[in-house]
This record gives sequence, structure tokens and C-alpha cells, in this order.
Amino acid sequence: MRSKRFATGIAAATLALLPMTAVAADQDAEVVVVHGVPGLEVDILVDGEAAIENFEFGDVVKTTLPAGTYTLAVAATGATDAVLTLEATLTAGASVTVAAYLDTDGDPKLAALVNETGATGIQPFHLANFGEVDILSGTTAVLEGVANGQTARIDVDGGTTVEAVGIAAAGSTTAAIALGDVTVPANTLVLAYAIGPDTDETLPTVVTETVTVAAVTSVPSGSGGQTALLPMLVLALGLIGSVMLVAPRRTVRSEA
Amino acid sequence: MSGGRSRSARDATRDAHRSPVRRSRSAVRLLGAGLVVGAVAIRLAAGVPLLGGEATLGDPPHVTAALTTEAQGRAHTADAPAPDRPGGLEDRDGASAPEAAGPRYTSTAPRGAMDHDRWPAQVSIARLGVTAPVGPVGVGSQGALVVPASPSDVGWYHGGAVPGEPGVALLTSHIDTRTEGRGVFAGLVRLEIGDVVTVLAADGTEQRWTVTARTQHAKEELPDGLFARTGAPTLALVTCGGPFDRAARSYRDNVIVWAELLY
Repeated sequence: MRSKRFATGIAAATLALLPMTAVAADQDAEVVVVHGVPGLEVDILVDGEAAIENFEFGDVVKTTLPAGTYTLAVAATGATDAVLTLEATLTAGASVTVAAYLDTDGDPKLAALVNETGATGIQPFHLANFGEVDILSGTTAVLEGVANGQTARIDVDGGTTVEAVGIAAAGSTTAAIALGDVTVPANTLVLAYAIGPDTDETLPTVVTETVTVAAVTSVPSGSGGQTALLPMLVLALGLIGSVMLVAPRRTVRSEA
Repeated sequence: MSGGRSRSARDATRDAHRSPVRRSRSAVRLLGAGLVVGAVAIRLAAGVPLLGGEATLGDPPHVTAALTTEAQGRAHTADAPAPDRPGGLEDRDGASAPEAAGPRYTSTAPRGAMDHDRWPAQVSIARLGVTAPVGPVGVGSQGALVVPASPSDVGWYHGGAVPGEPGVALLTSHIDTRTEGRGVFAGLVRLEIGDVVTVLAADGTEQRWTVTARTQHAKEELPDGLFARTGAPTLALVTCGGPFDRAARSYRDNVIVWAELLY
């Protein structure tokens, strides 16, 4: 797999997850793990080893892993037979959500989704057993047409509050789930996961986590200077050529 | 024989009769020509156009089309400010639109789970005769994109669009490095409008892109549009250019080649 060339420090042997407070090093990827399948206590396995145990519906864990390609799996707590598996390539410096969730048929799925850490805002994830939704502020749609299994970032200036955030069926201006006012701190991306079944007894619920924004501010893409050196050579040749064109005349003159 | 001799003798005589002033004038002229040739070569190689101060080729593409929701109703506008181009496009990017009653929000285009099969695996640029492997890269410390160490490799910014998605898919490679010399993107500055860039996805799907613009920016002034996540699928090839600061081992500018999807 090509990605391995880019993922130095794969360190796959010891996969115990680092403490939640760990600051991601340059060679790490940030991973937010979400349990959105009700009724089953599970372990999350990373390359076959239990990394998160006794994980329950609605739990969210933020951690880091060295960049690399992993086999992620969900197994009933204590069991080693995976019920869901996923191969995911984690890029150094990236932030990714790994979620077990229900699709529109109510079947459990395991997926990795990119956390849009390029800017400050709110990123809803539609991981509930529900059709397409809009995200509202009051009765105004601020993000439209998010299908089950999809996500998008709503750009919000740091330090501001988005009032009466809600999730509504697409086209509706009445929130099915109300989140209340959401304040977005500076340089922060608020991840909001809508999870769960949609039955007469149970409404989907929303769990949140925050990650730090990591915008690209520069692209340092050259350290050699050869491409600037080449024209210096041309300049030097031009000078030498000029001198040579002048010089022979002197020679002739001296012979005369 | 004697004719040849006499001619060279005549030349010699003529030269001998040239005044010192004339001689030094022609020397200055030749020297000047050499300097001009050298300077032109420097500007060309560094990606600076021969005329004017802006190294912009063609119209930069619409790359920051934003999904905007007004407070009244659900009107969407696809405003499309171009990346940082001269000539004051600020008036066009919607900033002068009437203020809505409430805050306006932009968003990225909704997307599903990561699909490694659609990630770019290889890029080819026919005019330059280069083909290079592509791998995902992220953001390093202090906001610097992690550009692959080898200038023979190309990085795809994992936080941007997947090539073909709405918004900008960003590919980057070193123009050169100290140890490996010139890279596969060293010739970006020579690309012209209409040149074709081919991207191969991990599943073997081929995309053909056509160059629409080439721009150059001081490194600390990357255009916002470079990170657009809505609007027409756009490919941005990014490398370095401009003068080289030997002490900092860094170029002053970034050269960006913009391309739109053919198929």
C-alpha cells in the first residue's frame, strides 16, 4: 500500500491508545471513536487488540494513533469475533471519526469520516437511523441535505454562539432534535454526532466532542534552491560569453 | 589566400582605428545583453512573468463557491471569489450583497465515509513528461502542510477535497530538495492553459484535468480559495517558486497550477 511510504512510524506492535489528553505529534492522527449502535456493549479492536473496552451506546473517546493503515473492529465486550470491521488509513496530522452507527435500514455499520479541522465551526454527523436531514438555527436551515452516513462542517466564527441549533427532516423547519444554543470557542471544531434509532419509544440523540482546528497556513515545498541556481549559471555563462566576444578583438589588435 | 589575409588585416586595422570609447561601448552592450539574458532566465525559471509583477496566467478558477443560507428563506448563492487575484474582485465575492437579518453560514459539501479507493494514487503531467506516486498528507506543526520528503513523491492534502469532489483537491510536491535535486513539480511554472493533468485513483479510475490558470503567491499569502470545499471540482498543484533564500533554505513564493475536471 502506497500510503505506508508516507506514514512513517507505523509502530503497529503496541497499539494501546494514548491518553485522551495527548497532544497529537506530527506523526500521529487524531481519532474520535463514537458508539452509535444501541443495545450492545462492545470493545473496539485495533489490529486485533482491544483498544477501548466496555464501550457503550453514546460513548465518545478521543485519542491518537501513529499514522498508518489499521484494521479496526467492533466486537461484543470480551469477545474476539468482530461484528464489524473496517480498514482505515490514518494520515499524519489528520483528524478522523470512527463510528459504529445505524444506517437507514437500521443495520449497524462501521465507518471512518474525516473531521473537517480546516476551519472553526460545527460539524454534524448524521449517524442516526433516519432519512435526509437539514441543520437548523431557529427555523432557518444552515446546512441542507445531509444523508445518513454523511457529515459537513458549518463554518462559524470562533467565540460566537449559534442559536437554537436543531436537526430536522429535510425540508422541515421544525427541529426533531433540539441541541439548544451552541457556542463555538475560537480555533475549535465542535463535532456533533446524531445517533440512534428512530422508533416510537426512542428518538435519536446527539453526543458531542471538540477538536482543535488545524488549518494549513503554509506549503513549504522546496529546500534545494537548484531551481534558482540554474538561472544563476545562465547568467554566469552570459557574462563569460560577453567577455569572450570582446576579448578576441584585443588579440587581433595586438597582432596588427 | 592573400584575400583572406588582407581581410583580416583590414579588420585588424579597423579595430585598431576604433576609438577606445567605441570599444568599451560595444563591450558594455555585450555585457548588457548577457545580463538581460541571465535576468530573463532567472525570471522564467523562478516563475515570474517577463512583464508586470503578477505571475498570473489566465483566469483563476471559481474555487470558493459557498453554500450560503440567507436568514430569510432558503436561498442559496454560489458566490465564487477567485483566489487572490489582482484587480479587486472583492466586489464580486458577495461581500457587498445586502446584509441579511441574521448571520449567514457557509459550509462544506456533505460527504460520506472515507473511501480509500477514490484517493489519488498517481499523477501524470504530459507536458513535463512526469508521473509520480501520490499519498495522503496532513497538517504539521504551525500549520505547515507536510510535503513528502522526496521531490519524486506527491502529497494529497487529506483535509481537502478528494479529486472530483466539490471544491479543491490539493496536490503538492517539493520543487527541489538539497539532496535529491529537482522534483516532479519543478516544471509547474512552464504549464500553460489547456495542458492536461491525469490523476489515477487507488481503484484505477482515471481522471483528466485541464489547466485553467497558473498563479504565484507569497508563501504567507496563500489564497483562501485553495481550501474551498464547495464549488466545481478543482485540482490545485502546489509547489514553490520565486527567489530562493539561501539562509532559510526556502523559496519566497508558492506556484499554483489550477485545473478543472474534463472527465
